[in-house]
Amino acid sequence: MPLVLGLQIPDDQLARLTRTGFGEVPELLDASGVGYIVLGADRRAAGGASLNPALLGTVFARRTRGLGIVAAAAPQRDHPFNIARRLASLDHLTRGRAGWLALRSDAHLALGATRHGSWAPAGGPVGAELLADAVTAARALWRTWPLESLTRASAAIDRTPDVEVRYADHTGAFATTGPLNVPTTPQGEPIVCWEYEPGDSGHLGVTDIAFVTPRDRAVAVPADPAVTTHVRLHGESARLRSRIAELADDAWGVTGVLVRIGLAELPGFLDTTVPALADAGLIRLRAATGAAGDAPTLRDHLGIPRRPDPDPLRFRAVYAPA
Amino acid sequence: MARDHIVLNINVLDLGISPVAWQLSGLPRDATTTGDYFARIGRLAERGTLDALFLADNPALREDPLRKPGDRALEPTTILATVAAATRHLGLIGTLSTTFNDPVELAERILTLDHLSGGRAAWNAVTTYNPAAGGNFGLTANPDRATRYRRAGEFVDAVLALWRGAATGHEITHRGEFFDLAGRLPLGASPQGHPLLVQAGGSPQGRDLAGRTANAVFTAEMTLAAGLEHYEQVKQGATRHGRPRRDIAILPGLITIIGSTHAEARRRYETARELQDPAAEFTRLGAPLGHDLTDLPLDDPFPRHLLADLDDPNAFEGSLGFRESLVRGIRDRIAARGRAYTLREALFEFGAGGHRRIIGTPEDVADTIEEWFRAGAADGFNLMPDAFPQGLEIFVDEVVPILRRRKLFRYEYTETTLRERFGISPVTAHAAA
Ligand SMILES: Cc1cc2nc3c(=O)[nH]c(=O)nc-3n(C[C@H](O)[C@H](O)[C@@H](O)COP(=O)(O)O)c2cc1C
Repeated sequence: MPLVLGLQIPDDQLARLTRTGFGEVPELLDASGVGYIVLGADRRAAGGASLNPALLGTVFARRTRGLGIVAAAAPQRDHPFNIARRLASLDHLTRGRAGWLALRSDAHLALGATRHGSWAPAGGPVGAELLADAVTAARALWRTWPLESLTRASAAIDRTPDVEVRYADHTGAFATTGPLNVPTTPQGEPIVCWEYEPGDSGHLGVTDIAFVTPRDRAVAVPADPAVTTHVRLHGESARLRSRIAELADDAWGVTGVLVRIGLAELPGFLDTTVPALADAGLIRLRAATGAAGDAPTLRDHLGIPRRPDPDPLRFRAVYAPA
Repeated sequence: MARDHIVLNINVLDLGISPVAWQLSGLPRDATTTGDYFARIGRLAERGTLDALFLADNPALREDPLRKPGDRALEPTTILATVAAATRHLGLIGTLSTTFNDPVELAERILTLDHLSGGRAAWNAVTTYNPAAGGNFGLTANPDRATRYRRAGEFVDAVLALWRGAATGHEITHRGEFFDLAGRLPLGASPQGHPLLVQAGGSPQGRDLAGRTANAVFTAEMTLAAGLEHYEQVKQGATRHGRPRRDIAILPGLITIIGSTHAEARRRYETARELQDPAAEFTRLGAPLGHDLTDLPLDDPFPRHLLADLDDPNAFEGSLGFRESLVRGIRDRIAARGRAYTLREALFEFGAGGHRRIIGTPEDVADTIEEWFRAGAADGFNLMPDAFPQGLEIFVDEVVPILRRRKLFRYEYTETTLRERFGISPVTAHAAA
């Protein structure tokens, strides 16, 4: 099956383009049909300069119409309420093209942070377990304020249960009552991505996409069918095409590749490699966006349905009896 | 008069400060979930050569969106990044809480905004008193004011140290009651060195924090006399901390309801009042006083005990700044009108949203702005139109030209960064040391 194509450009290379407004990078990516761009992934390990991923994503949002935009954030110094709020905002600003790359820590913001970070209790869970709790909290918050309360003409009059604002009442390391002060988004809620590390399997159930290295692919395949796998590859590798062909073919349940590519190689990659891969039926590109701005959401392009859980109708209503 | 030009920021309370801003705006109920709305407001502000776009903020939902659509629906730094991408000159001021953020994360996010906007960013530091916020962050109640301001003081110091460290390339170390930090941010100096700092909160602790650290203060002043007094208080606070007076601009909020004649403006206000839930004025007057006013007889004299000095100001849960301005405003009216001054009159005059309000012609608005500026009660204003986009359009098209003719406001942008535009001292190696 043809794979979805995501790209990652090294953070420091993008940061260096700030003063020139990132050249034509957002527009080129958008026109190429690439599925999504991941911003901030290098923050897992300390490196060069890096711009705040969600804000960089917001600028890319203004200059693209169909490109998926996945922004990294870690609940280490950033409370899940704030992450949920910012990523849901990015999802509105992209009209349903946003994703959250959930990192357990952000090396650029560490500056002496503890493993449990600024918000979770000391002595509680850390690592993958703590991150899974943050994702669970965010997902509950994302469902507390239905967008239909603002878009359905009769919402204010009929007040059917599906338009009521509700509490999230998440208890856990990151307890949060909600409601979130951002409504549900055009694709429901952002896509959640997770950078797989050995030992994570038991926690991957909370995510939509697991990014894995080719080496980890066999062990990392999540038990949960709701979680899909995208394999990380290097764009400069001579074996890129054969690897993609192998992944597109096999029965491992891989649905996409996340290719890391330098800015210098990007134009050639978009001009030559991407069309060739698509022509060979190895990758699946986004359809060109029509003038009406009717781009599919990231969720549509990925073919990842919105999860049934948590069901917000089970939450307490904030402003009216349930 | 400290500056030759007035500072004018537009405070985008989403669709406007009026409780029926959505109805007045004529926009869809979900307008404030779109980037296009804020990009349009930003470009409109830039057409009027305004200084900056300002966003207030609370990390909590404030009102039932089914009853009142058009309130905040997006996170402020993402709105400002959207406006940054849609404009070239406009300053970008975001309110973010010191109680519900982390200083490293916040410093990096605002510094990123400063880079993305070419040096136009500022952070408005508040401690947040909205009781709904605490639960979102795992607390059963918000910390009390004294604790919040202790944290705010340390938070602001840490952020400024991180920004100076970024500007000079130096690692910083900070050890305090709330934070232990060591290292530096993954970004260098921005085109204005680093972002500016704004403060809002009028308690003694708030004013002291402003005098010590802020480049601008957003205040709530109902009367010229109170404005003059607080202006001096904060400027002298800055001087006491060894800072030049011009490094801190005092910017009261100003609610505007503008019509081409006085009668038209008045009609616009009356129409809105008829549309709005009568409870809205009770809440807007009662909340800052810390009292539920709904059951009080409208035509009785305004209850004096609500205006009494507080036994323990620190135990007051709301904003002391907003309370003090209101109490003083109502006391002045009682002094002028005698005991017969009623709750009904107070609701009309002060139930609009905690700030000075003008209902009038563009000339009236320009007159007040000029009066306060020349008297030394304000370096400028945080403008709060009743509803967007019309309230901003008429300001840009009708009030700005008057101020330009009076040589109080610019015809075009001449400075590239917000720091230069506000006339704030540059970030020097000395200041950064
Ligand atoms: C003019 C003005 C505007 C304010 N704006 C906000 C705001 O946007 N968000 C917020 O959380 N608090 C805001 N505050 C209150 C601050 O949160 C303040 O830090 C709080 O502790 C109470 O204010 P006080 O210092 O006046 O007692 C504002 C206060 C004033 C006076």
